[in-house]
Amino acid sequence: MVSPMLLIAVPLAVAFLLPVIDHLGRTATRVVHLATLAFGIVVAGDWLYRLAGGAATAEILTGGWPPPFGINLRLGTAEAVLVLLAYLTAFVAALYLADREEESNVRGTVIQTVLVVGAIGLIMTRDLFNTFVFLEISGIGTYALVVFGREKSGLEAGFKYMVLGSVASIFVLLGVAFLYKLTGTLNLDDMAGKLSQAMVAGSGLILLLLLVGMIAELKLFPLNGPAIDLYDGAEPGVMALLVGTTVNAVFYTFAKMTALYEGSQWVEAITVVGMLTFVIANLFAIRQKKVRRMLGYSSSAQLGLLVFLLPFVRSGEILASTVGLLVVNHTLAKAALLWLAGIEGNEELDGWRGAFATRPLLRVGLVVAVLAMVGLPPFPGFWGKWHALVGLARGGHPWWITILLLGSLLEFVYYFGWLRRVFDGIQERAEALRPLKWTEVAGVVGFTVLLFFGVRMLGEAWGSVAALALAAVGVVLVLASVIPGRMQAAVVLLAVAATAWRLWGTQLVLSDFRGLILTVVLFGAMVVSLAGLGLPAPRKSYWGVFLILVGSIVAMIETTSLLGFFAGWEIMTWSSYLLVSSSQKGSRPAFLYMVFSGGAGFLVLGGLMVALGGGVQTLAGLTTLTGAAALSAWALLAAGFAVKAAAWGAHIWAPDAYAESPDLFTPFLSGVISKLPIFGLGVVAAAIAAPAISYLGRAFDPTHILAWVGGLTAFGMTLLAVFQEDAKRLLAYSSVGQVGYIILGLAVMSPLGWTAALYHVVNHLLFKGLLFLAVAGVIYRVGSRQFSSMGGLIKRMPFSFVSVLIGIIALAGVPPLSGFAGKWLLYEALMERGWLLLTAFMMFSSVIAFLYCFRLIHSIFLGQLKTVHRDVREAPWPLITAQYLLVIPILVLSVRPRWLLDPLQRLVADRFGSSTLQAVGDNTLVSSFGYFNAIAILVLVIVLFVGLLIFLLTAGPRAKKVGPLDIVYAGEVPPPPEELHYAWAFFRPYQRAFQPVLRGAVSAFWRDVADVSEAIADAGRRFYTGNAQTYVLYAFLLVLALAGIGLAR
Amino acid sequence: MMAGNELYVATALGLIFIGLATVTIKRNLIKMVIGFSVADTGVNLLIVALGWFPNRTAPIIDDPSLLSDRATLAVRSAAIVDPVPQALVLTAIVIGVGVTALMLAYVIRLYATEGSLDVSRFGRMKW
Repeated sequence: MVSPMLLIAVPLAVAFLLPVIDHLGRTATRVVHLATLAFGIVVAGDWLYRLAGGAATAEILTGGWPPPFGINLRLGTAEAVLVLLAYLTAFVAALYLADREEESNVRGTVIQTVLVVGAIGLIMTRDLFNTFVFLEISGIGTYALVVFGREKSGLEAGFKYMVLGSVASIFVLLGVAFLYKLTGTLNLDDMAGKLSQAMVAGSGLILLLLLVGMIAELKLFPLNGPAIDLYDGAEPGVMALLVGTTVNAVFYTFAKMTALYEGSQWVEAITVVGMLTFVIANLFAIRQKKVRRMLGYSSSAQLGLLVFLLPFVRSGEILASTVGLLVVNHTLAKAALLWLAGIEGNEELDGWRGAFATRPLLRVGLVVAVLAMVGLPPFPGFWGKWHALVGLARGGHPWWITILLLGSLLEFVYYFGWLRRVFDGIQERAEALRPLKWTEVAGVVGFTVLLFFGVRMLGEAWGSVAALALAAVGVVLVLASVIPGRMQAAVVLLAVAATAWRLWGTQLVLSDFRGLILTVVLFGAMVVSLAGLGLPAPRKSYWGVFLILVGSIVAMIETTSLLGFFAGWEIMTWSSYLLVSSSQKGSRPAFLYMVFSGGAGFLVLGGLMVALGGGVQTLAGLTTLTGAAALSAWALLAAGFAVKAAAWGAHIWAPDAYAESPDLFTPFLSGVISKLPIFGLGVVAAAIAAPAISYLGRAFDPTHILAWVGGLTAFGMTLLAVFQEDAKRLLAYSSVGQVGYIILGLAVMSPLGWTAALYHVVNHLLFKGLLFLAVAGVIYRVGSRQFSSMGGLIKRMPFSFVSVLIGIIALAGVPPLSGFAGKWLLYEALMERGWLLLTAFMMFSSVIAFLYCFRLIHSIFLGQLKTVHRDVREAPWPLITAQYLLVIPILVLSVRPRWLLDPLQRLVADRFGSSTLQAVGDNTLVSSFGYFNAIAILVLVIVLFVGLLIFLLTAGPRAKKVGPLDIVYAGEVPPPPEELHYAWAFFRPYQRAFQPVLRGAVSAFWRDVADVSEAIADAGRRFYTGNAQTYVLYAFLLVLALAGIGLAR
Repeated sequence: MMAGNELYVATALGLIFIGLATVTIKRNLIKMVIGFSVADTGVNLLIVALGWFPNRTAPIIDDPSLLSDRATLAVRSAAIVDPVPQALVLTAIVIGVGVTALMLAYVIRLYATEGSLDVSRFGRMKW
């Protein structure tokens, strides 16, 4: 076992030997430098391995004196992790900087090594004065290294940083000196004991000086200005080195110091400053136009979060390992992002359009690092945040949780805003780039791979072999991008089919909520991947990510724990985000999708935290919640799921996301993804609905709100769908409206309502998947989504025509097809509950739905065929096959609705007892209001319509066929060509009539929300004036302000 | 605060105040560096003053016979000043020299870029 002392001694000795070694040549310098760092990695790794295996913490006594007389250093698990991380970062950073002449010459190399020494010393020492010395070593190293290379900006930033740093060190030194005077010791542990034994009057001010000094060193609000300039001005490779070494070391130093603050009046100050930093830095970051400055704000915010958690670690509410996960996550992700920023080289955010378009590996690295940075699973930050939140929930700090989640949402806004630019124009940018050396890329690749250690925790949380296997195959497909797209689709089809085969009969049962949704998911995935055999993949990584998505959904449905559910939910969110963004114009809608999904996720998380705070661990345990906890958990969960379902008020993300998604993905998005919030409502939220309702008593029923939200969604979206000129947008609005019906059905909270809702879940998957697939085929052949560029395609694409015809009849909810049963059940359920106004409202919107259904078939397939489309062929056969896979169940359900309704009845009976709906014979359903016989109606309708057709064909004069070329233009200037189309603005009179309700008040509201937060961020960030002296003044003001607040108590 | 060294403590605090005030108010970069030096000196003086007690001697054993005479050694030990602050100050002075030198080097290079020593000229990075 190597002495941990060597972890400091060896690099220190090497640092001073390097100028001598350099006389042997630059190569010798580099080899010795890297060998030293490699030595550190091996020793620290070895220690970590032993400590994890139960070895005793190493105590090093200098000069043979025991503490408190001699200085002692310590290497426990936490220290070993940080030391290893520091050495790893330094090693990869040295590789990255090898090509930067200034940073990698002998002076630069010496300073790099000194920085490592300073960091390791800070991490391991238990002596306060020693801490000060190492702080200064790290500081001087930082000041010196940042001026290399980038002449002007680095110089200015470095100077400002140095000025504030020097003030901070004066504060720290004063604090240390007075503490020594007070306690007679410099040993941290000894001092903490003596301080808490006798909190001598006057130690308050001393601790305050130390605190403000450390706030400046930690780069917390309001003293983070110079640090942010440093990110902006210095070489990103240097900043990556600092993140892994100095930044972590200073944080750990402060973590050790929190022992001194125990019981003092400054504990709250630490919490507040930390959280303020997290929120404010994230807020200001959304207005940044420069990538590296944005990353600087992000780093400050992350440090704020970590510091915020420290007092809770002291009080035992949060485990130290939880904070450790966040530290490791931040180091790996931020360093990778900084290296990427350095490789891309563009300082302006807008210059990142299509970045790494020809470098898929780096793009994967960027996406992974961003996902990890914002705390999404399976990366370590997610688990850290989750456990931290659970700790806060158990400790009873709902307001801290709320603020923390708000700050996290801001993080979503700017990080995904960055990715939006990267995905934007990814197709067009393919210029030749300078060749990259492996040394530059090593850090990004290495750290991205390391981030995946979070997968271990994912396995534990999910416990679903099928889900993990699907996701694993997905990851392989992402990496194996050389495989052609259609072959990848085949792999996906096989993988999903294999999963379905394995779960057949055990989990794939319709009489269970999970089984029902699982069936919907796997069937939908198979249909879509079958269609994928006929269409080109939108992006090379498309099918891999798709399989990850399917895996996450399967996990979400199969898991029993709240953690497993939420982990699945979040992976579902980001993987579907990536799929939406993979089309040509998908980046902007995908951004909106992600921000709203993020908000929905945080609402759900908030609800789960209320439950966890009440001691619930599993989904099944939710039913034990009672009283106010049940109500607030239910409200948060229901709100989150409603946002994710694009309910009215939060629907603005949906139309664009549906319309601009790849044509292959929209059927899945509409048919399957939109059902997951329903799963959430039905399995998670409904479990606590009863206690929530009973808590409010008879006075008010919260499900009534949900019902009206669903009703408004159904009505509003249906209305908007009518006036669309774009086939996919029309279907998009329609989809959201249909989900509104489902929410409404669930909100009835009666057996009949649930039967109606769940019947509609299956039915909607069938007909909307069918319609989107049929439209995808048309778009693929015609090359446009606009109605004005279609028409008369019935002759060219007859199979697609039949698909759309069946689809719209089912959609309209009219006899004879399956949609009718669903609508009928829903009306009955609403009337049974006594919600007559809603019933009327829904009948009215059903009528409106006819209008857009008609448009769909009329504008695309009827009317005149355009000359350019004379040779259009039918959609590719896999697409047609996929469509008819959906047609068959629609027809079966139309004739035999009971085949689905019976299992659903059993499902509902488990929850509510038996329903008022009864079946008589094979075809007839009897409810309290009437009866419904599928076969009889089918026959009736067919007879009626065939009769009508015969009448039209025989009666009256023969019609003359008019082709598009029969029209004569008579010297007038024609308006824009699309306005000449027979289906253009088809429902304009209705549009005028509905003008008052179509003004877009909701989008205006959200635009205002965005504008106001941007304006606040823009005004607020002027706080950082750029003047070094102002920043020093802030430090004095902070002392005064905290003293005023703290001593007044 | 403590008997006999109020003058030193007061002087030290005064120096720290003057130094930091210079750093905050004077726009000239050189004067800011001087301000830091003055404040550093103040801090060092303060630390020494905190460890000093009147009528006590230096912590040095000047008579070898004391080593065998434990009883007298104990009595004498109670009458020495604390050596630790002095050791700290030595280190702090060295660090202060290093920081001052680096800061002056910064000033030279800043002057080379702008041709000015006015601190407000170096605030391009902000917000």
